Amino acid sequence: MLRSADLDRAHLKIKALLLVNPEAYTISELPLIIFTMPRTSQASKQINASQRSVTDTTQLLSLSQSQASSKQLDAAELEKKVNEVVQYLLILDQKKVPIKKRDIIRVLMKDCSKSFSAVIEQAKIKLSKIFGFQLVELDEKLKGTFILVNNINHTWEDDSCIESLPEENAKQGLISVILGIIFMNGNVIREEDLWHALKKLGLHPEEKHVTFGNVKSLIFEEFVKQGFLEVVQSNEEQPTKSLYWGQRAHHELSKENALKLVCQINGTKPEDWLQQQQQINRSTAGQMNSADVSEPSVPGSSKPRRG
Amino acid sequence: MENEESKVNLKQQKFLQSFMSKGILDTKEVKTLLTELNVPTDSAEELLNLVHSTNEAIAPFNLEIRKGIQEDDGANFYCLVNTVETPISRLSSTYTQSELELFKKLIEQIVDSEDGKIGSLAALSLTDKVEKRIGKEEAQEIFDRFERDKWIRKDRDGKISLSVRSLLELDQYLKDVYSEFIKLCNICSKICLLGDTCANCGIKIHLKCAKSLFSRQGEKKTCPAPDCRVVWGQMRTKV
Repeated sequence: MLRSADLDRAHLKIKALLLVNPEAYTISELPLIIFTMPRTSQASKQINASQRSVTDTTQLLSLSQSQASSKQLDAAELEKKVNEVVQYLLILDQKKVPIKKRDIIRVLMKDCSKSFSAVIEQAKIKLSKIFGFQLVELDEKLKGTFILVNNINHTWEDDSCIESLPEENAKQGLISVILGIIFMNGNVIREEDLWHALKKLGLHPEEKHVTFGNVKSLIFEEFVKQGFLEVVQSNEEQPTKSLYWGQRAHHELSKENALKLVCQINGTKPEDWLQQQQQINRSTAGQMNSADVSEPSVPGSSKPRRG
Repeated sequence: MENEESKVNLKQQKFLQSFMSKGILDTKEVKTLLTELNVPTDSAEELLNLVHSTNEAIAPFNLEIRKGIQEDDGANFYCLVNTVETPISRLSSTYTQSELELFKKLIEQIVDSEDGKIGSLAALSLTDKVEKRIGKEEAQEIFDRFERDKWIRKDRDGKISLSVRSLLELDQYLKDVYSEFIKLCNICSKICLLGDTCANCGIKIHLKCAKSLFSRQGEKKTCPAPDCRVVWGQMRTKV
């Protein structure tokens, strides 16, 4: 359990670090921003080319596709589809919102949806081999969606070779800290307890933060939507929300690194935290089990989620 | 065997990821990257091979790493560009439609100008020309982002010009849309926006290209166009 004394010590450090050097705590460097400018002679000479919305886009694409609903693709067509899907994934991943399988089909594969698995399999291989990104399919609440996870993050010695926008860095710093807090608290934390910790960093549910704006919405909406956090609402008389690591967090940040991060912040050593170390050893051996989700400290509240 | 191949793959992936995250690299940043990849920084051949093999791999996704020269000082840059605009690439959400529209208007003004620059006030007044109303403050913030992402440059007087990144990415667009207005530098044959125009025959040359030309010519600076050859900056006197 993260004691309030630890939080007190940590808060000064984190505050300084988040504001001054958020890059120190980024989790994976996330795939890039590809800027596109309106171009090509046909498009530019058409009057409202720049006003095409996504719906128009899908119409445009389906015009060039046959009317048959499940065409079998030959080798050349398959290759072309795979390349289109890779581009689509790279671009959509910019927003960090898990990409829906049905959107991929609707936008790119309306007439050949049966070939989806073949196409996605090839796309996965290309993304890994050429870009160093892992295409991960999520499940449970986010079933049928995909995210890109950076495979080679840990291999950089000189960080200046990879640049992120300051806003992105700050958000990464914040999510890393929250994940660390949740981890140290036994892999789950109630909303009140999280705010208790965050208030010490100058983050309040009701106040607008200079960097993050509406922090509550950032944490409970954006981070949840992106798959970094999962929120479970209890069904009791006074419903409380509990936060867990989201699926993306599990893929992007290992528990080992989460522990290292926390130790960097509060000046302890990973070896000092026995319970967390045990979890790390177990998770390198196999999957996480229900024993890892401990009861919250206050009696009479929510039960562990997995059981 | 497999280990060797995966090492090569990793090198290329890192090279590519650096470009994907930064968009454009100057020579110093390229050197830093090469050092990170354990590639000798003085070997032009190695760099070229890396660029070439990366481009081969990313061509199916309409991406390419191109080399470009900054118009005013001749500095070298490497830049990752989209080679074709497709409905998929238009889904990119870095900039909204109205921001892109504002950028297009900016391009229009810059191409129209004599010297390839427009003042910041003139740029802000472009907000009147776009369909969806943008406040001046918001417009300033948008231009700041364009500058931060290296699509435009501001000189010491605050005048805005298109950066080498824009020129590399939009080369075809500019040539297509502004074919009648765009001039190519008489010396290097690349698009010339920031440059000097001959007062007599109207050809345009980059300031850097002009500098090397004039230093070779010595005393008398003359227009390089064969039909002109008038002293630079002057018009031919009528006989």
